[in-house]
Amino acid sequence: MFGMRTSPVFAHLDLDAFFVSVERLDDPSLAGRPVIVGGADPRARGAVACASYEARARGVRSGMALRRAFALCPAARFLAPRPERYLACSRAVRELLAARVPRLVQRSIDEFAIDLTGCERLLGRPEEVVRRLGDVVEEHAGITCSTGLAATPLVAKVAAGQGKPRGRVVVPRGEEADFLAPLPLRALPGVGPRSEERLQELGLRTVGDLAAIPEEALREAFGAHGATLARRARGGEARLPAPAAGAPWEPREAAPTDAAFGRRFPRSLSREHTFSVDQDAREVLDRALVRLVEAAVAALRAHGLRARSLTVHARFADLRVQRRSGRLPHEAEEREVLALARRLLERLLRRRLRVRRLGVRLQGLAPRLHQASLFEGPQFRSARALGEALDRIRARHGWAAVRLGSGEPE
Amino acid sequence: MSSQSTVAESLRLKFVADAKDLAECVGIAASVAPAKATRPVLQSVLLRAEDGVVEVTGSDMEVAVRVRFEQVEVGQDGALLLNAARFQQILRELAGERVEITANERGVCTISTSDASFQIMGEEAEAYPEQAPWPAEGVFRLGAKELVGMIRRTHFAAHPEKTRYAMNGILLDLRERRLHLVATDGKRLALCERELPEEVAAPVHVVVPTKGMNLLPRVLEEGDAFVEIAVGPAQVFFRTPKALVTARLVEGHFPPYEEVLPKGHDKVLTLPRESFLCALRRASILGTKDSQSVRFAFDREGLELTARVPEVGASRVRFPLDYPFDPLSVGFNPAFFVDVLKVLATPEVRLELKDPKSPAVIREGSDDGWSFVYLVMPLNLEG
Repeated sequence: MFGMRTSPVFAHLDLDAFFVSVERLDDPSLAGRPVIVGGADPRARGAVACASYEARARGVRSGMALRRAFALCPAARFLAPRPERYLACSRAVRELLAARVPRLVQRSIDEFAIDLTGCERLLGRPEEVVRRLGDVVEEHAGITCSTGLAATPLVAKVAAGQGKPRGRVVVPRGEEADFLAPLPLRALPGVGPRSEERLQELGLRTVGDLAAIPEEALREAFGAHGATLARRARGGEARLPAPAAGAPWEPREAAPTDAAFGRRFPRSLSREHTFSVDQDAREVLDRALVRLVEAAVAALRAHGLRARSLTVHARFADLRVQRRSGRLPHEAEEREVLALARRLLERLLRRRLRVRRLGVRLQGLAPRLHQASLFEGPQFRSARALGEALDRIRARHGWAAVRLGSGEPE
Repeated sequence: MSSQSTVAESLRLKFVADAKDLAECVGIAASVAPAKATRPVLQSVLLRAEDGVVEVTGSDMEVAVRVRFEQVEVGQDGALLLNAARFQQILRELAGERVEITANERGVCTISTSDASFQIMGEEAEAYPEQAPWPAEGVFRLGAKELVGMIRRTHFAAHPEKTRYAMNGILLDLRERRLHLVATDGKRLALCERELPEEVAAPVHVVVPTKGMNLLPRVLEEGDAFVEIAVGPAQVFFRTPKALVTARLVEGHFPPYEEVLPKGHDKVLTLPRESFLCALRRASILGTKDSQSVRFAFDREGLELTARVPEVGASRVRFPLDYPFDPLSVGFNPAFFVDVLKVLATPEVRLELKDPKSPAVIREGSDDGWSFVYLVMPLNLEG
């Protein structure tokens, strides 16, 4: 059915309950029992990042408050997320796939879109290729996955989602509409709770209902998003989406360069932290601030940028958000940014309320110039060389290998 | 000059002067007063009428200046503090008229002309920091015109912020019969050297805050031949007929500038200063002052300046010149060249180059015992 070499064919590979799978790799005693990744203390504030299928059977869903998850499934093991570890596993899977297929785009930390168009002579029948890829991931990475195969990346993604866990779903060419039509609206990527509610108000229940509405009508009702939904309900386009530039799972290589305008860069870099319990202890707030500054400055260097100003923002126990900003000195690295961040936090804390969320944002970004110095010696290398040394150690040994002393222990 | 008295003085004073001349003196003192100050009193200037002369003082605790104003008719001796910005603004608006300044015993200061009058509140002079007195010993003098020329050629290269090395000031290095003024921010360096008519008694090696040094051209007047200089343990003093400038010395070591002076620069060019400056300005249009990088490509065709500014655009400027050496491509911040070409006086400058890792050197020199050398470190364009 995918016999014609030039007909587009796409695969989608989705790692099953990814965070839980990684935790089970590292701790086999978690196998077979409900596991919820989101926070180690289910009574604290936080949300479910990933639930095992055992927990999902009890009604636990991603995004749900931990307290609610605990009420539904008190027997579950609750674990704090370890993003660096998940990212490392995600990269390992990507490498496994990238070595085997020519065109691959990672869609999220646990999803991969693959273009198999015209690869039959090289790789074999698409159904076989996808089955092999799934086996390779399960064998070498130790994580089960679901796959979908279809004429468009979107249908392949929906197919993979329908087969979870460990499904191998193939949607034959020409049957895309029949496959999508009976599915609930939420099965379509881009339909969240709010879109679903509004579509239901229009009397729509399934993707088929949506596909029956002319694109123009949806555009009138929902704007550009309506037009996107209309196209998706009909199966979407037969080409890979662009990689999500700057996403943490994307390799840190130089972004593509535009001949005239050079590299694009972000407007600002932010890091924030929500406390599990509202905080007013200076030491706790300061430690969190140190961690945020550390992460933001490292990201700044990774992008080859420098920042002119810094904003520290806090959401207080009364849910009001306040910000304080200041200018950074030239060539500001961790030490200089932290000094300003502490002064700004001090001003924010004049409200004398507990802090719920703390964030830092570096703005006024510009490319870092590699200006040579006239003088040699430690006084001239200091801040910048230190920062670059930190980056090198982290690149080899991981983020946690070197931390600022006054930050929060993890 | 009067020394400042610690005895409570009368707030009352009275004098008449030309508003424009007075505004100029107040402007010099007010330029030292910080816009934001931890001690609000520093946002004032001290006005003192005594012995038929008016003196205006401004200070930010690091640098202080006392300006003497003689074209005045003093009716009543006294001293008080007035908000620097406000006082200056009033005088500027009244320019061209005779103003009468009077203050009553409660410190209410009236500034009036024939058809306008302002009343502002003054404060007691005692609150103001005392300026260190002119030391009697260790005084030497330098030619006023020469010193101003040297300051103009160096001050812009100083670091704008405090650093670990004493770079936020100008080094005044005086040995035997040679005076060096040096300023650097670690990326470029300006060095001006001059032979003195006579040997100094003791060598001097101090870093003067840029702000203090920059006051000198303002307080020197046509016909002033010399500036008197004295160096104390923590301060430096400059005296001209019109003013006394005191500045707290910048602490720390000045970088070892003699070690970085260029050697082996084999590519020597002579460039017309004005048109080179114009080309550089064109090449810098798209960038901002602190984030510019321009590629300087020299070959037999001349010089091509290319710039690419992310999210803004790109530019290419050609500058014809005679370059009979191996082609060289090197990155620089063009602002560093613009800064220096603006202040030089000769129609031509000498540009010396070596390789993409070595500084570019600009020289302006004359034979009458003085020289100027300016170094600009390159940018790594590949990095």
